[in-house]
Amino acid sequence: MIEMRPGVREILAYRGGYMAVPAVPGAGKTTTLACLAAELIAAGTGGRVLIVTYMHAAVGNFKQKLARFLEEKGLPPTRGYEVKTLHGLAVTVLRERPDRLLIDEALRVLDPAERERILRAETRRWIGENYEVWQGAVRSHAGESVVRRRDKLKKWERRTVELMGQLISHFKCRGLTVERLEPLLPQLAEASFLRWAIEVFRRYQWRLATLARQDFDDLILNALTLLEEDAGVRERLQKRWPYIFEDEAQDSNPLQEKMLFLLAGEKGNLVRVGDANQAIMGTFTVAEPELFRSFCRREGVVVSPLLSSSRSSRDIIELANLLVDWVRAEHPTPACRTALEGQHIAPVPPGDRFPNPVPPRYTIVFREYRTGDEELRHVVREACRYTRENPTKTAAILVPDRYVMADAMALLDKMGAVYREVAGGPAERRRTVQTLGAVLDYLAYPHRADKLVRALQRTVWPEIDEEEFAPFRELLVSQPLEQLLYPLAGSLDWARLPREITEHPFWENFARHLAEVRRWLDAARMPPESLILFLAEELGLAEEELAIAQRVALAVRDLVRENPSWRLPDLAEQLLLTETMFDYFTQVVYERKGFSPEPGVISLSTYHRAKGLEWDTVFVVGVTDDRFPSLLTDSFRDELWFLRPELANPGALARAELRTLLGEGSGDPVRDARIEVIGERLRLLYVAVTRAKENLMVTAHREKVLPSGGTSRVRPAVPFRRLAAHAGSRAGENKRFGEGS
Amino acid sequence: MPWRRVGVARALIIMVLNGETAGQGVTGVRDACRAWTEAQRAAIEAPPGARLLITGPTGSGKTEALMARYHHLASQGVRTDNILVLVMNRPQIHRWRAGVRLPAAGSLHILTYFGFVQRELKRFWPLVAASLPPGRQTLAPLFLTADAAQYFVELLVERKRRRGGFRNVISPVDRVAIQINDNLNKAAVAGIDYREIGARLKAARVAPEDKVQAFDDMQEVLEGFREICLAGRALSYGLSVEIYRAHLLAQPDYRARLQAEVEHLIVDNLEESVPAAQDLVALLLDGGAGATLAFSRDGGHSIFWGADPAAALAMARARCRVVEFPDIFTCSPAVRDWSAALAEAVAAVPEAPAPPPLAYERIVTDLRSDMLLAVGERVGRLVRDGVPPGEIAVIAPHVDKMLEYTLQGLLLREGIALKNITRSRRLIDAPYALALITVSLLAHPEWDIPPGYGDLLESMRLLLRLDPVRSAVLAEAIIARGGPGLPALDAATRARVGFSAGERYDTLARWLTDYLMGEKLPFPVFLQKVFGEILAPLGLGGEDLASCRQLLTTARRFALVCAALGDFDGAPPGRHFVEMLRRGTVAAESLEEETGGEAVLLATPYAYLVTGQTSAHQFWLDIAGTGWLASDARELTNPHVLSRRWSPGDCWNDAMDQAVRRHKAARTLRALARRCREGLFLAESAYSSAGYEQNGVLSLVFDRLLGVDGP
Repeated sequence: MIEMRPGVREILAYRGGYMAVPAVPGAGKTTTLACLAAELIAAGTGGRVLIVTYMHAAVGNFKQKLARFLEEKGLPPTRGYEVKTLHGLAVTVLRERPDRLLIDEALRVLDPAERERILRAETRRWIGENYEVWQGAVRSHAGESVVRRRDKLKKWERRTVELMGQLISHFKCRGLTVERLEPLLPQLAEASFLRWAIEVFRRYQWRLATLARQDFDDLILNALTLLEEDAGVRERLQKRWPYIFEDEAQDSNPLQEKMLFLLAGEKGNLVRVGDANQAIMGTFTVAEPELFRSFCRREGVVVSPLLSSSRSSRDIIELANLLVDWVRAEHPTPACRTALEGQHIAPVPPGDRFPNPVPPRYTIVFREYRTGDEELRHVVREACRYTRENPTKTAAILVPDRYVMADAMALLDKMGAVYREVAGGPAERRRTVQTLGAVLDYLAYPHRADKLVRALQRTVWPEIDEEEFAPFRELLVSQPLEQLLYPLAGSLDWARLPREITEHPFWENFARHLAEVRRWLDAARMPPESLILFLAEELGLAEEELAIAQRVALAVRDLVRENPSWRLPDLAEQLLLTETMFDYFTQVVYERKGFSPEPGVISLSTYHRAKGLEWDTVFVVGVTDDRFPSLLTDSFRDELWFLRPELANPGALARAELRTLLGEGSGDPVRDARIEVIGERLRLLYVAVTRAKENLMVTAHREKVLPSGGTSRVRPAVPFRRLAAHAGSRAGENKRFGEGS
Repeated sequence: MPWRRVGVARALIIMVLNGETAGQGVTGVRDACRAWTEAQRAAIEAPPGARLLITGPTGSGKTEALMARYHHLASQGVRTDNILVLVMNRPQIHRWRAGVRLPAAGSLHILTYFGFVQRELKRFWPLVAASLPPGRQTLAPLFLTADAAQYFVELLVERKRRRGGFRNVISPVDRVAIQINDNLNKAAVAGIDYREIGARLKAARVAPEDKVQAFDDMQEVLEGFREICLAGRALSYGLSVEIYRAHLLAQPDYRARLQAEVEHLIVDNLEESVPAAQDLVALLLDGGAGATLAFSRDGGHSIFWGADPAAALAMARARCRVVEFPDIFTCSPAVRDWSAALAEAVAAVPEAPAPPPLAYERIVTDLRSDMLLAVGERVGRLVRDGVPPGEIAVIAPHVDKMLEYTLQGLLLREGIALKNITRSRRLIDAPYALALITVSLLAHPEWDIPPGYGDLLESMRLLLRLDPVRSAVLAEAIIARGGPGLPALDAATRARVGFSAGERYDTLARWLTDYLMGEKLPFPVFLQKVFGEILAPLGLGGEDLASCRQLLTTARRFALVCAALGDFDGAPPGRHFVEMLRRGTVAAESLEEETGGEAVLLATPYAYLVTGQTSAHQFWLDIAGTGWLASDARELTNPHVLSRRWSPGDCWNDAMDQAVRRHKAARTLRALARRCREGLFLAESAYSSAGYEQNGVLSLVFDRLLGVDGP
């Protein structure tokens, strides 16, 4: 059963054509869409409903809800639909006819780590050949020390690699190939960032071709090309998916949008659901929030908004709506006043089965601290207290980036708090790969005690804490390993081992584990692919971990094929260096069931990753003006201070130059980029505050500790101050945060 | 069929392995159906000059009847020298050789078409050579092995790629090379001029686009390779067929002689024959030979390899009297009917639910790893319930390591053997083969391929009979000091590896120094010397010995090829040989495992079907994947475009591609079902091993057939 809130009935009545569903946070769009999909399936679609989402977690979520609705209707829970991420969709499309594009049917995708490595190598090579013009972009001062200069160049080199990666992605997402871009070169100055990027792009693509790989952007681009060029494939897929739903449509980029339009075909059975106010992927991807907005305005598109939400208390809704109104009417930079759509969240009407939470008093707090450290310490303490006092409630700390995340983890660890990184921290998920890497690394160097210690710590001895482990580690390091593992007659006098060891309760295990290590060493002769599977079995891996180990074996097979002379040392090095190689897969396996916050466990997340989630209590940390700029004169993190001022935002400059060359007009690229950043950060703040159901605490600080040890002034962001003033005026009744809720 | 480098290996392995498994043998079958059917008896006992075309489904006893026919002909006084038997592949040759038991037979002429071509070229080489364009003078033709052809085409592709060729081809070099070789072979067996290959494939593409340049690049490589081979008289498969047809079969004297020689022709699996073989059959029949041909109506599994069943049928029908064998002995009539319904459902859209008349179970999991565990668990349960392991077949479009390893592990625990008939291993992964190569590298610094630390570790371990830790100590010391040969050990290292190992090391080092100081040997001779003086004393046996022997044989053959092809790129032949091995181009030949038929069989559908085996229970794996409906079209090859029936000017479009995929899958599944007697297990996972969602068509077909889909 679904709650018939305003707008729901209209959506469920949908039977065809284009429909846009602008939905506010917590409006239940997944549920509504799942319900609509079930209705359509029950009525008979002649094919399958295709649901495209952007996150693996959302795939799981959708499947579960849809299965429930179908079961309620007495239909098989897993039939009649397909839920895919965008990449999954691209792979599905390409699999139809890879030969058509001269692509190997294995569709090998370049993993992010490898991509990064190729980018770095090619960019460095390019820098080497164009050193003068490259370093000319860096600001120099009279009397600047050599060390300082070198430091800046090092930073610039790193940022150049990033820049090349972003621009290559940008080219691909605009459907621009090397062949299309190369003719532009004669028009470009030596110092043009766009020229650099095109030149690196050419080499990068050549490397990909020799490796027979596509990167993730290519996947989408090639899938689109296939759909465009092959009417047979297109029509077949149109028949297979007579209805297409797109979730999080505000994060669409032009290629994705084009692909979905092509698949929807002339009948246009396309439903796009999104919230323009939650478009926060622009900096990471080439998403264009404007696409969804203009889809909503398009002729022939039925707009059915979902504006009622039962997620948050009325006070929190009031605060979020205030942010919208303030931005639209009073934002100090008038060009940013369209960053948020004038779309208010409405509480659900009386009588709803799931009413908005009603906290006993005003439970929104804004607080300022002197330093970030102080701020984080206080928030972590508050979060711990809250979960202790409210064991049935959920709580989250939202942080701006992974550095603050690491600090927060350290503090939580110190306080012995139970917490979990949202969407399983990459660190946690990489464990399997790291473990296999560590064991392989030892097997490659069987005489190296340091490697054995690490392999053992990662496998059979994780439970041994440092102190207890010390004598054994000492033993491994001090004795030649061959004498411990393969003693020649009489070479090792066991009787002379320290009694501290032989009488240790762990001694028997130790001996047993040495035997285990010998077994691994014996197995090291197997072909590497089998060795991985063997180790997975030895280590008792199951479920997700086993799937990951098998994925590693698959990758190892490919690596050996591509580098036929590689043996264990090379493979181990590869696995240890590029554990991120399997991030896509681990994400799939761990997130396929979705994420649901557990009561009593503090969730820790970046603002970005919190999208789509909700907690009873949310702490939003670090709302300072260097992260949330408001004025065009504020400092912008993606601008590079060490470059000549007019070149401070190379990405924006290159994109603008490209637009000009393609005859799309330009403007002031640096200013435009700043306006974009201000807008996106405002939306990010909007996402953060709308995660809270009952209690919300937003914090900021005034002093930033620099790597040099000094401090610089920052200020709470302008919207922070505006919202804090509002909360302050209403918080007379509020005494202690979260109390009694 | 995955047609990559493993494809080469696989093809080899199938040939080697299946000899025994296919051995139901004629005696066995005759026991089983002591009484021939009327139709069978009539065919077997027809007069020697009769021309018969036996048609019938899989499992209708055609091969057995052919063998009985052979015996009958011999008993009627036809000399075996005048009977030519053409079969599909090496396993079938074994099967025939095992099945034919004649008291005092002359020589048996049981050959594949290609074996026949090779034999004829050898017999009449002076005649052939005289009509070839100028080239190396030889007394006999040299047949290029598939791995050598693969290796040299790879080098040419790489060279082209370095010069900017194959720019838009997103496919690894080995795969590109396989497809190029394949094109040469397919064109040859279809009688298409090799000069037209690229243009033909290019013209069949739908739209003009930036990608067509790849076909010109391919044509360039292909012609370059053919030219080198022809000049060196090193004949690849395709070139052999081409030369046989153009330079031998075209000669009237030869034709007359051949027609006089073959009094009776027996062809098994005519449906899997290539057009060139069909031409030969037609020629012999038109020359007056008697014939017994067998054609399976559910065959056509080798279309990808160039077979043309429809043309074969038309050719034979025009010349023979058709005898129909309607009965199937390998499954029940109900299963036969259902397999037809299944094939229809796969080929088009299924009409109505039609559950199989077999016990069936569906295994559906989220992760593929869990699916593999579930399959292993079910197999174990069947065996515990009393099903003989040899009666269980696990069939998957891609038999990968994950599948093999998981299954093997689970079954081993219950003492059940698993036989993977599609296994392919690289020869270089055989430990002693690696040791041989490592010693070669130490002895040939001029090859400029210093052995890596990993190679040294493995090799020292084997050659010095050392544990891995001490081998690693040695390997590190060797790397640190560098070559050529082996450096003297310092006291600390010597102390760590132990006295007697140190002595063994010194002996090996001295051996290398002696060789380095002395006269260089050609590499096959050198390898022979290493084997004789260093490895043989270690007392190798079984697989280890076999892998060394294979390496030595391969080296000898490869040296001949290098001599024939001349100075390929200035590198010494030994270096090329090592490079070829390190690329994994050469597959290890496996020794037939002694499982006595009591092993669960693991196979791809193709490998399973060509064994001719039947099973009580079959597992069909990964039915949600796209592997079951794989296309025949690849990046740079397409057997249909390179067939005689292709009309130039046509485009290979999506509709054709779909039709071919579906018909191929339909054919495969029907044939599989007809070899299944009791139970069918259908396994699938939502995600593939690489983490992609799977929604293959086959899973949906089963939803419909089993009646579990939505409205």
